Amino acid sequence: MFSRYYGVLLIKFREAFAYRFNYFVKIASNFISLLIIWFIWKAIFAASTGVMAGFTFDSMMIYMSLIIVLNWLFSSFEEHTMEFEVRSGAIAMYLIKPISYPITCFFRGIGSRISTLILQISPFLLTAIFLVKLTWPVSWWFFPSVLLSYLISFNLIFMTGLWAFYSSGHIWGIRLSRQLMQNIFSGALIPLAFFPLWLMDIANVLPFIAIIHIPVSIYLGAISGTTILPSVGLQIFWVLVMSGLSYLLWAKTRKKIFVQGG
Amino acid sequence: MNDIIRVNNLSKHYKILQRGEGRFEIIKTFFSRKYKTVKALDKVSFTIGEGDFVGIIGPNGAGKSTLIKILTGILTPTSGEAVVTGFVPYKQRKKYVQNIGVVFGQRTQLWWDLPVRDSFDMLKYIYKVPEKQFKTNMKKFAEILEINDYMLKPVRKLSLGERMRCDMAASLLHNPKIIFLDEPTIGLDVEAKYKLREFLKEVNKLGVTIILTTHDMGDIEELCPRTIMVDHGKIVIDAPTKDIKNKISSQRTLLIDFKGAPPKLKNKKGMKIVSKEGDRIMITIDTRKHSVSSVMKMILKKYEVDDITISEPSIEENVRKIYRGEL
Repeated sequence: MFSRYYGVLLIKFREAFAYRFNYFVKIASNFISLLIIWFIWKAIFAASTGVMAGFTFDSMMIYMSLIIVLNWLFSSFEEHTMEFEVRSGAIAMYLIKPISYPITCFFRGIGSRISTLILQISPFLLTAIFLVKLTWPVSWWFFPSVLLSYLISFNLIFMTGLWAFYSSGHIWGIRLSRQLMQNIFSGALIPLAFFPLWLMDIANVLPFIAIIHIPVSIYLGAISGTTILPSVGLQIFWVLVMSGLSYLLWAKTRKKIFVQGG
Repeated sequence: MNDIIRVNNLSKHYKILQRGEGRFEIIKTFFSRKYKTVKALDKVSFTIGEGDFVGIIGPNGAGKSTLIKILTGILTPTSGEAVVTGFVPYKQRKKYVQNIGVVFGQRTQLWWDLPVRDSFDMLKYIYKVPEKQFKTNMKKFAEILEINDYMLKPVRKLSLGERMRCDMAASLLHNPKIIFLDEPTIGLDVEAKYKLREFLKEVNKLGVTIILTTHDMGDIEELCPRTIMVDHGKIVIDAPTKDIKNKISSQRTLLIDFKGAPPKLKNKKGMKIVSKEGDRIMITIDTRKHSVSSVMKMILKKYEVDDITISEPSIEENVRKIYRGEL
């Protein structure tokens, strides 16, 4: 059914290997951000009693390393690609092929993520085991939970990218807003456990919570036993809602497609 | 012969944002917008038979690209109908495009940073090309298009001519019944144009229907027995190329620089003095009445001449003239 898309996946995978310099820069930047985070939290924990919102310094470092790893899943590079394709009209090159554009976007994402997994994430994880005493996840539910996160994130990215059709190819504003909201309400900046109750109430009704907070909490054991199923259920709920919205938005967009230039 | 393309009363209207003139217009349009409807295609009808080689010609913005985009399933028309290889392109896009190949001269379907070979691999999966067909086609392309030498070069390092040949091969990998070429020779040098035209002739001989849009009358004369001329979204002419060629090539313009003051020439039948400026005179000749060489001989015999330039009217001028009924 998806065999046609193997070509898309393969070429995106190969492409990552064509940019060697880019690869070294990204690896370095991952370590630098970990270092900065280390110093900041070291200072914060030095001024406290040693446990904050249920976190020790060590568990905070594991949390932050996981964020770095997971952020790779949610990288918004596809939005750029879509924006470019709409603005330049290059999207036409997909529309003349017997494949669907949304599914193509999905498999392109998978292809580039497999290559980052090999090139960037594995070396980072291997070193993180020693640097921050990274351990095995408390529950294996972490893995399906991450997959669900990816599906939600893909739909968010796809819908942001589709905005390019309605704004003559400029999505900078909406992309920035989404990323800001996602960073705050998913727990990517600081764990949601630090939030006051009213802010937590907002986070609870947004899809972002299902992206990082849930899988990381399962990893660390903060969500465990009987609370796992409802959390994963919430993720499935958001996958369905977001896929449905993407589908509707794409159907609407497809009707009004115009290709610029040429 | 069977009709492979049937187009009936096809129209495409665009809404275009309008901005008036004046100092504060730019701010005004930011808040309240006025749109104007532009008819890119206006009730166009024609049919094309299987195995035909048809050229679509017309000035910039005439509607050529819009027509190609509708026929390739990219755009949906505002009204009217198109049926190609038994499919309605914009309604059954995914099934339909398996039967066609498309080349846009100003874009590429090759992957910019990867070797050409990788793009072909991708297309093999996307079109589900059987391994055997893939191999024979690649061999064929290597022979006729001579693309083997740079199969392992990244696309960004290819010259325009090399890239166009690879794009051409890419559009034929899945043995399409029709190929649509939107200005394939744009920007190519004489040598590259020649090679491409030779290749297209070969492809057409194999029974592939080819639709080509171009600005270059040379492409059409060389390749297409039939020409469709489009302007302002309408078909102005749909006729055998040789008929059109006779019509539009009948006029030549001579620009003559005389040594010293230019002589007083008179208008004759089929010869008209258009302008006189200093030492320079511009004459148009109807070649059905006088040949260019006879007029030149006549002038060179009597007067001393510095320089003579002969020019053919551009396609744009011709189309406009035909449109106004002057030719």
